[in-house]
This record gives sequence, structure tokens and C-alpha cells, in this order.
Amino acid sequence: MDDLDAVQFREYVAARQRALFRSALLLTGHRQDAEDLLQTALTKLAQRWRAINRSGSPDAYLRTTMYHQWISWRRRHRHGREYTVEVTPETSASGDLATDGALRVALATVLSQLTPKQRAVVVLRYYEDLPESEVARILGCSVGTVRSQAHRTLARLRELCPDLAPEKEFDTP
Amino acid sequence: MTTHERIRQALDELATAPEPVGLADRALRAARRRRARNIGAGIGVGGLGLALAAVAVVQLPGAGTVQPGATEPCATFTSGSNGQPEVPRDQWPDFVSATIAALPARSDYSMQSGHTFCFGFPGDPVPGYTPAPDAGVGAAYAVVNLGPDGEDGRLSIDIQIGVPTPPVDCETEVTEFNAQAAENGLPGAALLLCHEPTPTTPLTYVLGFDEDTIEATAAYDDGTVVELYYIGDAITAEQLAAAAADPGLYATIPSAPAATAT
Repeated sequence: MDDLDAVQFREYVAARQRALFRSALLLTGHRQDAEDLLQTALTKLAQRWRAINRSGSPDAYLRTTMYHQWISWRRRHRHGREYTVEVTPETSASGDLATDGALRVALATVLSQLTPKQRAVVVLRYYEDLPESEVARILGCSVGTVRSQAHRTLARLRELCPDLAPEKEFDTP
Repeated sequence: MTTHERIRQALDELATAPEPVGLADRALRAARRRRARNIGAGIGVGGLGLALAAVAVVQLPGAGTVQPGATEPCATFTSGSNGQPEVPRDQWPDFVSATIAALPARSDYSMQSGHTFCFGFPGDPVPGYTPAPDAGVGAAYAVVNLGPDGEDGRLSIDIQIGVPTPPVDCETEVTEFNAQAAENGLPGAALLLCHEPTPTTPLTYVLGFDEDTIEATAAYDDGTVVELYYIGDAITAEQLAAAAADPGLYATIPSAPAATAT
């Protein structure tokens, strides 16, 4: 990597790290894990930066790397390091939060109950707004699997938060 | 606002947290050093490392911290907060020092982040996430780089105490692991090493995930589980297993409390 590559890499990270860190945070539910996850993925990206940057898809590479790395980390926590997620009163009362607390509670609860793949579907599909085909490519599954996982998650959300009325646009890119 | 938009906004609020600093520079340094090592360009790498380390101090004024009370229960160590890219060695938690002492000797182990023994959610809460209510289940965790930026790999130390269902034997563990991997559409693991428990030693095994990723687990009768997860090629499966089951490391681990704690 030459100086120009390094400059471009720094610019890319500066532009994208906020969004990527938030995605990592939603995947892991833990700030340290999110930082470690993103750092590991960025190191791998830096090693292959020139080729991946030329291909025009560093985001796709990072998402795929983060997902697979996270799955690997999740496996090593299978004996007890699991977190229950719920919204604290302090969070609900925070002045800069715009959504209703019931939905955040429902989302946090649902996230804690999902498998790694289901959780990744939620993050990639509904947080990053990726089309189903792209989510399927990252997760290495079919579009039908992504769609069914999304429907199950939405159904569970509606159980916990009944005012989420069915809307067709939810499932369209 | 559509359902999709409402969910996206709620997710965005759940993900609100301060961003880490210095990610790009750390990634670049690690990538450069790994490349230099991989092509066998040993000459000059040390000097480059020193120069880059000096640059790091200048470029990362907010990097690295040991938060107050580092020796207290559930202290958190987070890179990116007080001008240092790593946790000073004299402030490492005992479990980290003991783990490193049990691994092959080298002078450049570098603790990046972690927390001491916490019960429930570790000491760096994310808005919207609260401690697990499991009574007596606690954990300590640390990330240690081999080399200042992990050019010889990255070690995660994960210790759980009070685990209600600890591993019982190697075969069951690898079978369950591979079932979970299959469920997520990912490759399984290979059992690289297995020492069944004796009256004086824990169940110890090593799983291999790909060419440079291994995990050693030591599971004790009292519900203590030590997991060392390593990405790199400088530590062997046997060495990692020996460290996971090291009596000196086990001696640093507190007992799980009987009551719920958060």
C-alpha cells in the first residue's frame, strides 16, 4: 500500500466508521466486542485495500467479514457469555430519542432472542437498508431465507408491539 | 412514518454510542507489518515499527485508557480514551498477566481492551442493553495483540464463572459446535486436541476453525470455563491448551457468587 492508498483508506474509514460501528454494535450488543469486530475487519480490509477499493465494494467486503467474524466470536461465547437486552428507563427518557419506547423495548427483546443469522438479517435489512439479494449474498443463503427470517422477526415484533400494523412497503427494497 | 422507517429509527437509537478512535491508523499499521513479515522483509521492520509507534502517540491523542479503579471488580479497559494505544503492562488484570505468563515468552504482548470479572453485563454498557439476570454467572474478557498492532496475531481471553452447563466432553462439544455452525450456514470446526478431565486437571480441548484460527477451552467442575481464542500462527494448539488449563491462571479466577448480581 503506498501513500495514496493509505490516504484513501483513511478517508474511507473516516467516512464510514460511524455507520459500520453502529452496525457492529447492533450485531454484538456490546461496545468492546463491536470495536474489536470492526478493528479486525478493517485490518483485513487494509491488507487487501488496493484490490478491493478498485473493485468498488469495500462496504460489501467489510460487511461480509464482520458477519463471519462475529459468528465465530459468538460461538466461543456459547457457554455463558450471553446478554439480555432491554431498554433502560434512562434510555427511554433521553431527550434526543425520537421513536416510541415500546418499539425500542420490543426490538431489544427480539434481538436478544434471535439466532446470529436472524440478527444479521435485521441489521442488514432494516438498519442498513440493503436489498434482500445483497443480504442473501453476504449471509451466504437464499433470498427466500432472508425473506422468511425477516417475516418471522416482524411477526415477533408485532406480538410484542401490537401497534406495528402490517405494511407492504416493509418488505420491499 | 412506515413500519420499516420506525424500526430503522429504533435500531439507530439502540446503536447510539461513542465511536472508537484511531481505527484506520491501527488497521494500517497492522496490515503493513503483517505484509512486511509475510514477504520476509525483516530488515528495517523494527525501525519502522518504532517510527510508527511514535507516530501513533502523536496521531492518537485520545487513544487507550485504563479507567479509574482498574483493580476493582468489573473494571473496564478500553482503547481510545487517554492518549495511549494499549493498556500499560503494570495495569493488566491478574488473569491477563497469568495467561500471558503461561504462553510462549515474548516481549510484545499488547493488551488492547477488556474487563475484569463482571456479573451480568460488563462495565461498558450500551444504551438499551442491561445486565443478564443469570444468578452468579460472571465473565472476564480481554483482547491481547501479539505485537503492538497484532502483526503476529490476536488473542481473546474469555473466562466465565458459574456456568450452569459447562462442557462435559470433547466429542459432545465439537458435535454441538458443528451443529450450531451448520445452522448458521458456516463451516464446522475440527477437534485438534482433547484431554478428558482428571481429578486434578480440567477438561481441555482445542478446536480449529480455519488455517489460522484456534480456540482452546478448559472447563472445570465448578462451572469455570476458560476460552482462549487465537487468530495467527505464532501459538500452537498445544501451547494454547496448556495456557487455558494453567493452574496459575485458574488461581486468579474468583468463585461465582450464589446470589444474583448485576
